[in-house]
Amino acid sequence: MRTIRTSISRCALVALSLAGCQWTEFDDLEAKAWVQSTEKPDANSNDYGVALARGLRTSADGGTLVVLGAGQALYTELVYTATGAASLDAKTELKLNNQFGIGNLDLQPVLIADTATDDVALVTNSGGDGSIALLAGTHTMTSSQIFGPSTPDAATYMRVASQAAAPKPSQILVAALDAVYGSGIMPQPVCHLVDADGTPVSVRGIAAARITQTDFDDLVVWSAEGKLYLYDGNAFDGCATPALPLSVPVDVGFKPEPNASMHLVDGHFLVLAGHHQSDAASRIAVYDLTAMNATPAREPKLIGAPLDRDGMKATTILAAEGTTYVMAGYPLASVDGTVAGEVLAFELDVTTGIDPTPVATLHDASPESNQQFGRALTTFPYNGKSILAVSADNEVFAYYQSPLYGETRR
Amino acid sequence: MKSRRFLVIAAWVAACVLAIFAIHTPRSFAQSSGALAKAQAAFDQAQQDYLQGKYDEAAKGFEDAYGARNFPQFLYNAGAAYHMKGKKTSDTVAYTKAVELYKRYLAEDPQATDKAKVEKAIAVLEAEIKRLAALPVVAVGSGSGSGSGSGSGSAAPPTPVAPSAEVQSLGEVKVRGLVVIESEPQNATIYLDDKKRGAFATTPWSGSLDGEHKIIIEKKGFKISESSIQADPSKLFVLKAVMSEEGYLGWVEFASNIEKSEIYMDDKTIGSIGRTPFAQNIKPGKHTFYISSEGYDEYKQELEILPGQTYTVKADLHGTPIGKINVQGLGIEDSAIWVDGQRLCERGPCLKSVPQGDHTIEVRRSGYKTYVRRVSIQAKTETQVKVALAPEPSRSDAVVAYILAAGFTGGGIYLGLQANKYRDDLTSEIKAGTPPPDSNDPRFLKGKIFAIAADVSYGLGALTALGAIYYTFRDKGSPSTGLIDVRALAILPQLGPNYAGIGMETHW
Repeated sequence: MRTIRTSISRCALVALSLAGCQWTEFDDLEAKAWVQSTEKPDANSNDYGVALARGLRTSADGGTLVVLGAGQALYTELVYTATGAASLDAKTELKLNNQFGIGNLDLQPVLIADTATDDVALVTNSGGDGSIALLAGTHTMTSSQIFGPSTPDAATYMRVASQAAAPKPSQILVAALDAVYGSGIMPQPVCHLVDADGTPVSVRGIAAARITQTDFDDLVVWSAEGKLYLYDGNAFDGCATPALPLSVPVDVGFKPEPNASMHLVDGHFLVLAGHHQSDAASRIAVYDLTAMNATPAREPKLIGAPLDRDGMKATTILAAEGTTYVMAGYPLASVDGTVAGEVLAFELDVTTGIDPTPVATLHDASPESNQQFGRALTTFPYNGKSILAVSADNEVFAYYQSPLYGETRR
Repeated sequence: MKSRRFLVIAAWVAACVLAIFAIHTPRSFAQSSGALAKAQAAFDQAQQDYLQGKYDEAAKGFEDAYGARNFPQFLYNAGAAYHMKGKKTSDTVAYTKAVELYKRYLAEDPQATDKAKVEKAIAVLEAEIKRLAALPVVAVGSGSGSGSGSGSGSAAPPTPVAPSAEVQSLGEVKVRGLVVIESEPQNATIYLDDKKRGAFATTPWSGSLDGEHKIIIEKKGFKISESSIQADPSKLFVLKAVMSEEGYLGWVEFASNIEKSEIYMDDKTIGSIGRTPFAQNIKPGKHTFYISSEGYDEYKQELEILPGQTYTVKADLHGTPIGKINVQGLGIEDSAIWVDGQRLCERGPCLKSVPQGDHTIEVRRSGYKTYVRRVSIQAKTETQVKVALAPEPSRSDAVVAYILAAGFTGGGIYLGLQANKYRDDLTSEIKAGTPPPDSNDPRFLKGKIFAIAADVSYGLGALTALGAIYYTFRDKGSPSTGLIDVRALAILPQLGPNYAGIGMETHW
């Protein structure tokens, strides 16, 4: 009897060991996942991931990503290790209401990163007066400048002539209607933009571009009328009089809502990306600004055909494997019947423009309703390479690998 | 008196001459048949005379029958006729003849089954003869006279004297019928009822048989004869078997050093064909014979039987010490008894012989716990096992455990398949990258939970199964019990004034 029991017990144990599932396989698989997903930290922010920006400008070992939360305004930095682990840097976490008196953020706050330093700034409304919060970099969490008017329509970092001699963080320009405010230079400049006949130009997007100068930037403006202007950068270095455009404006043919995106590629190719101010339409277009570097400046040249596709809310430029892509987020796009959002990758060729056929589509592998995948996009340095980060509702995705580039983890 | 003695002597001489003549005269079956008819006729007449109280005639008839065929039983019947005459008439001569014939009867049949009874009758009659001889002679006549001298006149028969109490105690003597079995040729073996009971006698045979019997007569080289008889105790019954020759069979004679050993041929399951000593016609061919006796090793011999040939199978059986095992108990009639893994009895109670030594006894009954006991059987002992079987306990707990184990295992399989599906999906999606799952994809967690749940379920299933196995085999409830009682058996010679034999005694 004892022999029978022993034999049966052994058989049962052997069968159990053979039949058992190895749950650690899922840990291994998770480590192999291309995408690192980070959910909102244990904070009071109930709308985490409304804006993304790179952390450090360069990072040869791992990388950092700035993520803003709305609801209760929250600044966080996600730290990614070289091997792919991600964690929240608790030391840099800021509740903006406590630090700057910024309560709730807009759903699409303007978060900009300086190209010359590690500075990252938030340009937003603080309830009556416009606010600029320097969140990271040289002036990390040490100051904020508040000036009016209350509602910023566009912002950018821009280097001006007075900053060239003594390297400083770039000046932040904030546009509201036709006024452009400068920061970091005292007294604070306030320039009013007009067109050639003196008509105020209402701003929807601005970008610093080194077109006519070599040591400082000019300013490219996308107006509410759908026109593209070039202004002399000197006008914003202690500006006191209305600035006149350097060139004849070109009509983009698309009237964007405020905070339209303007990305500079290879120094003089400008990617415009805007959501229409009155409907769901959106447009991405590429202009060659080279012609503007003339006397008198000429119109920028549209390259290829504009890409019109409804629902675009955010864009970023990804350079990977020798190819440049315009990554466009459509957070209300339907995925497999679920309104979860997606990000489309369009190949950008500076000679032919944007290929309207996406070369890659990114979305959550398990899409959830109202996930808003792609509501904010950015790229950030990771292990010396530029990788894509996408935010969704209370979730941030960092793509260590994608159909557009290979494995970046070590 | 002299003349009476002379007659007795003459009768003795005549009887002896007749007996010698009967013994030494070669008798053919035809002659024997005629003499037998004469004897039967005389016997029948004597029987009628006896019943009518004509004892002298009856005695003469029986003696005539004896003269025709010298069966001792005729002498007894003649003696019985004189015995009854003496008893009725107090005739010492008749008593003397009775004693004489009784003695002849015993002399011719010293193995008579009623030898003791006849010897007692002889003693009583001889005492009665002496008692009667001692009585004064009383003459009873008519007329009167006185004086001495001798004269002649008619004397009345003497008044009978009442028999003694001893004679009275012998009761009424009855004459006996006789069964005579003869065969042509003679010297055939007679079996009574069943050959397995062994040889009864050889032809010619005469004697008493009561009731209905099957008579089997067999002789080498002759066809077997089978007859049924209904013996009448008051008649002479003659069975004559004329056997025809049969040359195509072989004749096998069996013997063993142990009498009444069982003889088996070819297939032991059909039972024994007889007991030693034994002989039988056997069909030609190859046969295997087994001779066995309880307590002895079996003897086996193979023979190629040829027609008309005679073979001898002689077994020298060697004994094995044996003891008896006696299994009893409540409900034993529905139990099977096994010893050393072999079924000893299909159902109890079971009393069987087993070789001396250690044996494992099992008493099995459906629905009850098997009783298992190792016992040591000693030679010449009876080991009595009184078994009380305990009912098998319910195994519902084991059944429930098996169901749970199956449920857990089934659940584990389902969960494992789900986990494997998640793993395979994630693996393929990670490999394809369209779209690549992120690290927070819920399927990682779900898959892990399913995998862990599957393992937990497997574990629970295994533990439950082990429990079920334990519940299946655990000995629940009181066990079946048995009470062992060993008794000594002794087979001893038994001797008494009127008997001899062997007897068995038990001591405990």
